[in-house]
Amino acid sequence: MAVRNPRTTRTALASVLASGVIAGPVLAQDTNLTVWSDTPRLEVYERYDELDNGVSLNVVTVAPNELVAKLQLALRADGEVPDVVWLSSTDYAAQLSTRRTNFLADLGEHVSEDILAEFSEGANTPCTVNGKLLCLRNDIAQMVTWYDAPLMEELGLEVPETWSDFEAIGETLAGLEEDYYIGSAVEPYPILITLASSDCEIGFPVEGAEDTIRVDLGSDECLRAARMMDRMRESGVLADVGPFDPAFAEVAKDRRVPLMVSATWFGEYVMRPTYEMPEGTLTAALPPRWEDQDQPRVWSWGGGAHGVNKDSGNLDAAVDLVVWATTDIENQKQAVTLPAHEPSAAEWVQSINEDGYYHGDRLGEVLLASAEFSHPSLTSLRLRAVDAIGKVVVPGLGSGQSLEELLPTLEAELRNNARLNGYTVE
Amino acid sequence: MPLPQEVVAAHRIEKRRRHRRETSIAYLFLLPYLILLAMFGVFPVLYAFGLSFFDTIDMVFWGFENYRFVFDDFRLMQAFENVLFYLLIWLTATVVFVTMLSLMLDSVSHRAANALRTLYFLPGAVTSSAVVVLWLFLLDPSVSPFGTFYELLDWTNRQNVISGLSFAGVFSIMAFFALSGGWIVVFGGALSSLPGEVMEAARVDGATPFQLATRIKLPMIWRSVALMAILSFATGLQLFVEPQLMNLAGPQLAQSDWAPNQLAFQYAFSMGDFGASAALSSLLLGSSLTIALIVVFATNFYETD
Repeated sequence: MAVRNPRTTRTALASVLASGVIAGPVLAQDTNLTVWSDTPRLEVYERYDELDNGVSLNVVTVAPNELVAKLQLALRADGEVPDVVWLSSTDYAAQLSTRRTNFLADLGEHVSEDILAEFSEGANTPCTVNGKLLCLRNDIAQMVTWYDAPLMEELGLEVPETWSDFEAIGETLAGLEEDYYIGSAVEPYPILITLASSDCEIGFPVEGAEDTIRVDLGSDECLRAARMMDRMRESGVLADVGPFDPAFAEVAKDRRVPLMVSATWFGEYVMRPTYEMPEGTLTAALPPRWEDQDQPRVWSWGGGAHGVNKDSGNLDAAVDLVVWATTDIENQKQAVTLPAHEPSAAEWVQSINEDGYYHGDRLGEVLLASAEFSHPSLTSLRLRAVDAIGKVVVPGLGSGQSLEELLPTLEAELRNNARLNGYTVE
Repeated sequence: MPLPQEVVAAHRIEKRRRHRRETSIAYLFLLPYLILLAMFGVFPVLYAFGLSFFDTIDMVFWGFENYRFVFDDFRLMQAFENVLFYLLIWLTATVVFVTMLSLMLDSVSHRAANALRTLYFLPGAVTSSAVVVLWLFLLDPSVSPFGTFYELLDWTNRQNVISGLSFAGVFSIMAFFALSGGWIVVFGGALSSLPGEVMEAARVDGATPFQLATRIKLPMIWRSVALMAILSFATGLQLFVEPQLMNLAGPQLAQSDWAPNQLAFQYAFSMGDFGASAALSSLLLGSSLTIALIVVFATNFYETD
């Protein structure tokens, strides 16, 4: 009979226990998600990483305008494809859900209706392509009327409620000695936004038909907006340079920009640093509407979103991350610009009101209220109307043509581009 | 004692063996470059050419579909027109001015010539993207040192300047200052290797510096000029960086489909259509190769005189 050596048994028992202890954490492993982010969003993902929820993130920084290119390459070369991407422009949602590049997951199938209802009116429409919700909007960048309160008072001007009021202000300013600017006539986004707010059909999706858009730039709606911009450009109140141009900034620094219809981020990121608006002067009001509209229709100038890889190995974890990033109030409270999630936005505007830089204390509620006017036809397209305007309209304006004259050329460009990208154009 | 014929035969064998050894050593030196050329030059071209006949979603052979898609692109003709106009301006300017400057540099003192050549080369040391940003400042009347010149022409903002010069003109200027310096250095080398006796003889015969440059030196360096023309044509036809980076000046100046190479880029990286991109790239390469071959064979480029 073999004598059992107590020491060997003890050692054997100890080693079994030890291996059990070591194996423990190895078995309960973290889910790992790869995220492609841009620089401002890094801190959002870091915050998520610090949460103790069994998910660890591998964050890769990608320049926003290189995202689609890098993703195409990664998909083609079977390289490391991310689970979650940050889409700096909602246009990417359409580009990444084509027959060729079918990357984005339909979040409508994974996110509850209740959560989706918490977003601002129309915030997720640009993320909806052919009925599928391809991304969750992180922030919205709708238009508001930024204005210099003391300067407006000094000039005896009232904040415009309609676009005719806006034009009237322009006429008053044109009659004055000095040059005043209330916008730019040659910057593609403002041109697009003014046309769209007038319900000019610069690529509006057709309900119920897949990949079909309507382009009609000869309508009265388009002409009224174009003619207004032409008249104001003639009189000089709409500048011949873009709002980010040094020449425009010079005029602004000289306190000769009493108001501008621009995006929500414009105040904090352009008027405050570049135009050097003094403390206590800057605030905003609701954007103007056309006479026959009972409320303004605003387009977005920016507003990023998060998207999820439909073939992700950890789809649920990825969706959770995206939902958290867009709806967690503690997180969105610290966002860089107005969140799309209404409860978060309500908290976020507190910090704006407490900032002390802005004039008065109504800025927060104006930003919140204007989010409701998002244009129902603002969607994600594989073609970019801004690029078409930059290519065809701006050089034309530079060689002396009027916007009204250039509308047919723009329409042709948009139609051709749409067909090239596989759309049916009505 | 060996016969004279045997001695001669032995010499000939020895010479052939040495020649073969020298040739094999030559090939050994060429080998690294040939490998890299095969990996990064030849193979990608063949791969792209093959890819251009496939549908890149299901990898199904579908003949000339990609080429048909490229030719159906409403922007293709305009893009080619743009680039040919650009080449007209830039190639002419490059050939004429580089040759002229190099010949002039060859007739001044060595020290002055070296200093000037370095000066001409400096802009070329700056990378294309930085050159574009630099030029965006130079083309803005409010900040450019050429402001007064623009005012004379009544160009008050950057948009006017660019409309006035045309995009082709602007890109030609950018490319000229970036690339001509390098060629002037190359020509300097070509000119310095010309036989001194011929120059002396010409001077003795009473040739003026102008006649020396145009009648003696220029015909002797025509191969360098032809080489520069061929390479510049190929580079110019595939213009990409300058128009692509115009968006740094703001969205109102962005030109994302001005040149054919940009269209190829868009097909691949915006639309994910690598097959169409391969088709257009093959077309561009084919045109450059054809022109190059025509020039080489029509001028008997590789013959030594």
